[in-house]
Parts: sequence; structure tokens; C-alpha cells
Amino acid sequence: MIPILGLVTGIALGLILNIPVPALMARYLGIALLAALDSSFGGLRANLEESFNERLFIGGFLFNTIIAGLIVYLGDNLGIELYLAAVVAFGVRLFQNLAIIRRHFFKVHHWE
Amino acid sequence: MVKKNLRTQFILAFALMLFGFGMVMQLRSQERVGERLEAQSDSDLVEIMDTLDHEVGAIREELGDANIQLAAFKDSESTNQELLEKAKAEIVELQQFASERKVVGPGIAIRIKDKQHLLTGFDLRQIVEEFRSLGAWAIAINGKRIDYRSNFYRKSGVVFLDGQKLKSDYRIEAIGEAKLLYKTITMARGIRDELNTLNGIHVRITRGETLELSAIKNRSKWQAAQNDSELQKR
Repeated sequence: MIPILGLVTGIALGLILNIPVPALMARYLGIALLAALDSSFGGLRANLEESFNERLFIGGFLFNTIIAGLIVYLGDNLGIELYLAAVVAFGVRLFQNLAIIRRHFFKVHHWE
Repeated sequence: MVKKNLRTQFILAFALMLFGFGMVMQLRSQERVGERLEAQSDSDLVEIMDTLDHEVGAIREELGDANIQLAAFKDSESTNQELLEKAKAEIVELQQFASERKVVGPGIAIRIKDKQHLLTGFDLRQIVEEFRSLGAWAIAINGKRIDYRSNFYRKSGVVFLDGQKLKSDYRIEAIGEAKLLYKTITMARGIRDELNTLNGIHVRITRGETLELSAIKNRSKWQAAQNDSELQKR
């Protein structure tokens, strides 16, 4: 419940503050968001599996977000669509985590 | 355990809050970019169309001008070409008339047998002048072309034309209206009759044949007169 409240708070803050992002940064922010979402689902999954490690989560969250942005930047400068690699990697992991969370949810509620 | 779980949830909540905040920023920026692009594309399109219209108009105008110029140029070119051809033809005619060019055409030929060397340069000049007055285009005596500077003189019973000895029999050729030339020369009291009155001179006239008179050779340079440009050099 608290994570959802955090999400809602973030959305509300975003709507209220309405900070403009330069168009050039939109790509980097997009991939960083994907990395953040992946880390968040990873954390949720770890939490459900009771193997959550705060340091690992925070480290992974920040590291993945920053590295994802840097990969896109590097790809732009090299003329290689490196962001696709980040999208695929994070996307695959995101769906894997979602699948595990879903299964765990089903297991808890005895829906299986 | 509960405390740790709560802390975990708060950390996750914080992470998701950051995510949510970033997501809204991203959505807003994308929305703004899209709106800007749409607005720009409409206005730009109108502007581009307007500019293109102007450019098309200007290009059409230029094309029209270019076509007019091209037509004028073609006209002038053809006119110039015609004038050039005309000028060339005139130059050729003048060169022929000035004996600087070979002339081929119908005419008459007079063969004068003068064994006793009775004829003088004056007599030959009279014949030449007669041909000229009849519109002869080119005249030659013994194959030597006569031009406006030609001169005759007699020395030791021999007639000289432009300093060159003329051997008798004389063959005088004239290109022009062959019929007119023949009739005039052979008319009563004409040149033929006059020459025939002289003893020892026999005249034979042939007409209608195609004659070929070569260009004058070794033209003498101006001596008694100089042209204007030479005078200006002094």
C-alpha cells in the first residue's frame, strides 16, 4: 500500500510542480524511467520473496537509471541505437519481474 | 521484522515516487513537444506553401523572361548569321572584282594575232575599258588578271602589263554577260572592226565558253600612295 501511495505522491508532485524537461533530455529521461521501473519491480519482487536488500535496491535503482541514460547518450554520439539494447534488457527483466509478482500474488491468494 | 518490512515499503514508495514524478515530467514534456510540433507544422506548412507559391511565381516569371530572351537571341542569331553570310558573299565578290580570287564563269575570249607588233598598251587598254564598260566581272590578258591598278606600256615594240612582258598573240578573256560582250565587240565599227582594219592583225572571238581566270599574282605594293593608317604612324 505504501509503495502505491509513493507512486501517487510522485505523480501528484509531478502534476503540481510541472517542471519542463528539454526535448533533448526526453529520450534520456524515458530510458531512465524504464530503468527505474525495472528496479522498482525488482524491489517489489524481492520484497515479496523476502529477499529485499536496501543497499542493493538503492544502488541498483540509481546505477541502472544513470547507466541507462549514459548508454543512450553514448549511442547518440556513436550513431548506434544503443537505447534499444537498454529497452530490450530492461523490458525483458520488467516482464520477468511482473510475471513473478503475478505468480506470487496468485499463490498468496490461492488462485493457482 | 515488521519495522524492516515497513522500511522496505518506504524505500520502494520513495523509488516509485521518483518514478511517478519522472513519468509525469516525461509525459508532460512529450505532450508539450507534440503540441509544439503540431502548432509549428501547421504554421510552417502555411508559411512554406506561401513561400513556395512566391518562388513558383518568381520562377515562372524568370522562365517567361528567359524564353523571350531565347526567342530574341535566336532571331538575332539568325539575323546575324544571314548578315554574316551576306558579308562573306560580298567579300568574295569584292575579292573577285579586285582580282584577288579566281573567277569561273561564262564570257568571251578574243585572240589577236599581231605578228608585226602593231598593238600598243593603249590599244589593249581600250579593249579592257570596253569590257569594263560592258560590265565584265574579270578580265585577263594572256592569263594575267587585270585589276584597277593594272598599267600598260610599250617598250622596244613589246607591250608590258604590270611590268610583265606580254607575248603576242594576245588572248584577252572577259567574264561577264557573254552575249552582250560578244555583240558589242562584234558590232559594226566595234573593236573587232577597228582591229581588223590594221594590217597584220587577225582577230578571232569565241563566246559562251566557261572561262577560268586565276587570281592576280605578285601584286605590287603601294608606292605612290599610302593608306591612311600608314600616314598616321608617321
